[in-house]
Amino acid sequence: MKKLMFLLILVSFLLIGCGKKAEKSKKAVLDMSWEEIEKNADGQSVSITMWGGSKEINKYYDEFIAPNLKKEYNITLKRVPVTDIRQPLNKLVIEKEANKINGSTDVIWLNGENFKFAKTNGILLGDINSKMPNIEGVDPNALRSDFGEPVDGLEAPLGQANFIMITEVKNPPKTAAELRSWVMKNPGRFTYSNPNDFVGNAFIRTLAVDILGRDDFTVEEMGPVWDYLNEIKPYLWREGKTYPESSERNHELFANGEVDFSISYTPSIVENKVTLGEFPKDTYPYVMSVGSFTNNHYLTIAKNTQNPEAALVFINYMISNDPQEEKMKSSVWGDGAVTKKLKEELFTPQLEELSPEVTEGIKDEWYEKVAKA
Amino acid sequence: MNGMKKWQKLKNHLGILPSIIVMLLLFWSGILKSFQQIFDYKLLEKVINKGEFLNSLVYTAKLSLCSIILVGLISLLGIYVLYLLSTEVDLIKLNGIKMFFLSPMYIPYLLGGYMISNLIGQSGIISTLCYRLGCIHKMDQFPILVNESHGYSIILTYGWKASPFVVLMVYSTMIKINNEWLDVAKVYGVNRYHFFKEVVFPIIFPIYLSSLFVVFAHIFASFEVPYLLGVTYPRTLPVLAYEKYARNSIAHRGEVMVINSIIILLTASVALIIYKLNRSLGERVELELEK
Repeated sequence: MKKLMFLLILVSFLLIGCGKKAEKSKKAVLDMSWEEIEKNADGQSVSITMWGGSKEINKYYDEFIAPNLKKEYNITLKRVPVTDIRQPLNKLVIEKEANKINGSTDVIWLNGENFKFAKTNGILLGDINSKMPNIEGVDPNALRSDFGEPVDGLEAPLGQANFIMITEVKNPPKTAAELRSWVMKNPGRFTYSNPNDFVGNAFIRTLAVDILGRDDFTVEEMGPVWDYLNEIKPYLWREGKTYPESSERNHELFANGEVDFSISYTPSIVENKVTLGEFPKDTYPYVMSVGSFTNNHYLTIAKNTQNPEAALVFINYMISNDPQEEKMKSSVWGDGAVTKKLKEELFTPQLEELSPEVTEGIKDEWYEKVAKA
Repeated sequence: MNGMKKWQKLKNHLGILPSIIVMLLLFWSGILKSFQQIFDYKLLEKVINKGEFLNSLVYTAKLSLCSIILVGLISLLGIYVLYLLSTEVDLIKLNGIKMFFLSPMYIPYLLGGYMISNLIGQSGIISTLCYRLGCIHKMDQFPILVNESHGYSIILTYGWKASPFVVLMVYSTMIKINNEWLDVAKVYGVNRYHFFKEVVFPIIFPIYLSSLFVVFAHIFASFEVPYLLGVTYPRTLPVLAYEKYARNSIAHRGEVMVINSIIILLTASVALIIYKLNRSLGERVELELEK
C-alpha cells in the first residue's frame, strides 16, 4: 500500500511537471532590433531537435556548424537527435496545454505534414523570417508554401529536395507516353517503389501531372493514371506482382542490375553512389519533362524556447552562404541550397508539391486499383 | 498453521507488486485503450468488411503454419542429433556443440531476413555462383524466391532463425533424462533410435509442442521479416497495421488499433493453449522424471 501511494505520488508529480516560473515575455524577442538580438545571443546555447538517422548530416552539424557558430557568435550548439520529429512536437503540444513556459526545445527541423501540425497547434514562436537579415538572399519560392501550407514566416528554409529519375540508359523516356513504350520494349527492367514510400508516391504524382495535364486534380480524378499504371504493370519488374517497399530497395535493385532505373529525392545520391562504386559509372540523374517536384525542409523555433535570440541567430547563420555551400557538397550532405546565389538550375521546370490529401489518397487508391488488380 | 502458510505464499507474491503496477499503468492501460476500439462496432465492421483484412489474416495464418512446420522439422532434427551426441561426448563438449547450434539466435530477425534475401535473391550469392559456374546463362533464370507471394524466403528465414529457440527449450529437459536408462534398454536389445522414439520423445514432447506454439505466436505477430521479404499484395497483418499507422493522418488510427487488438487476441489465445497444454502434460512429465 505504501509503495502504491508512493508510486501514485510520483506519477502525479511527473504529470504535473514543474510549476510556473517567473514569466519572461517571449514575444518581446520579435520586437527587438537585430543588433539587440545578436547581443543577447552572445554566450547562449541553442539546441536543434532533428532526425538523427544520417551520419553525414550529424557530422555536418558537429564538425562544421557547431565550431563556426561558436567562433563567430559565441553560441554553443547542442544536437538533439530523434527518430520521428512528431514526438517532440507532441511534447510541445502537451507542454502548451500545461502552460509550460520554459521548454527544452529551441530549434526544430521539419517540413510538410509536421509543419502543418505544428502550425495548427500553435506551438511555434511566430514570424521569424521578417526578423532575419539573411532572408533577403533566400529564394522567394521557398518562403511561400510548404506542401501547400502557407509558411507565413513561421519557418525558414534550410535546404531543397528535387524528385529525379536515375538511369544509365541513353535518351531516357521523359514523358508518360515515352516511358510506356520503353517499358513495353524492355519488359522486367523498370519498377517504382510502393507509394507508401514518399519517393514512389512522387513518381506517381509526376505521371499524374503529365497524364492529366494539370496539377490541381483530386484523387477521384486520377482514373486515367491507374489505367496507365495497370497497362504497364505486366511489363514491370516481377510483372508488377510486387514493388520495392522503399526507394533504398529500388536503388539496390538498380545497383544489382535487376532494373535500369531508380528514383530519388536527393540528386546528389547519384554522385555519392557512383563514387562508392555501388552505381555503374555512367549513371546520371534527369528530370521528367513535366518537371520535378520540389520541396524544402525548414528550421523553426518552438514557442516556449528559453533561448529565442540564439535560435534566431543560429537560423540566420544557417541560411547564409557558407553553411549552404558546405551542405551542397556531395561528400558532406549533398542537399540542395536555398540561397538565390547557389540555387541549382539543373532541375527545372519545378513543380509545386501537392496537398497532403492527394499524397495520402494515392496510397490507398493505388493499393486498391493497381496492387490488388 | 494453515493461515500462516497462506500468508507466506501471499508474501512471496507481494514482491512482484511494483512491477505489476508499472505494467498496469504503462503497458496494460495502452492495450486496454486500444481494446476499447474493438467494441466500436462500426469500426470493427469497417475493418472486417474491407476484404483486405481477411485476406491478410488468411495469408498470415498460412505463412505462420508453414513456418512452424519447417521449424518443427528442423528443430526435431537438431534435437535428435544433440541426443545422439549426448550419448557419446561429455557434457562440456556437448555444451559447446549446443552453442554452435544456437548461433542463429544471436542474429536479429531483421538482419537474418536480409541475409537470406542476399543469399537466395535473384541477384544474390547463390544465383551469382550458379551464373559463374554456368548452370544458368542469365541471372534472371534463377527461380524467384524473394518478394514472391508464396513467401518461401519468409518461411526459410523463420525456419532457420526460430528452430534454435525450440532446441534450447527442449535441451535442458533432455539432458535430465538418465543415460542409465539407455544402458538398461540396451540389455533388452533396444537401439538408440528406438529409445529416442519410445522414451525420450514422449518426455520432451510437451515442451517441444509448447515452444512451437510460442514460435507460432511470435511469427504471427512479427513485422520486420514479412515487410522486408514479402510482396506488396497480400500483406501480413502486422505489415498492414504498420502501413496504416505510418500514415500521417490520424484517421486510420482506430483501424490500426482494431487490427492490433485482433492480433493480440489471437496470440493470447495461443498463449492460453500453451498454458493449458503445459499444465496437463507437464504434470505427466514430472511424474515420469521422478520415477
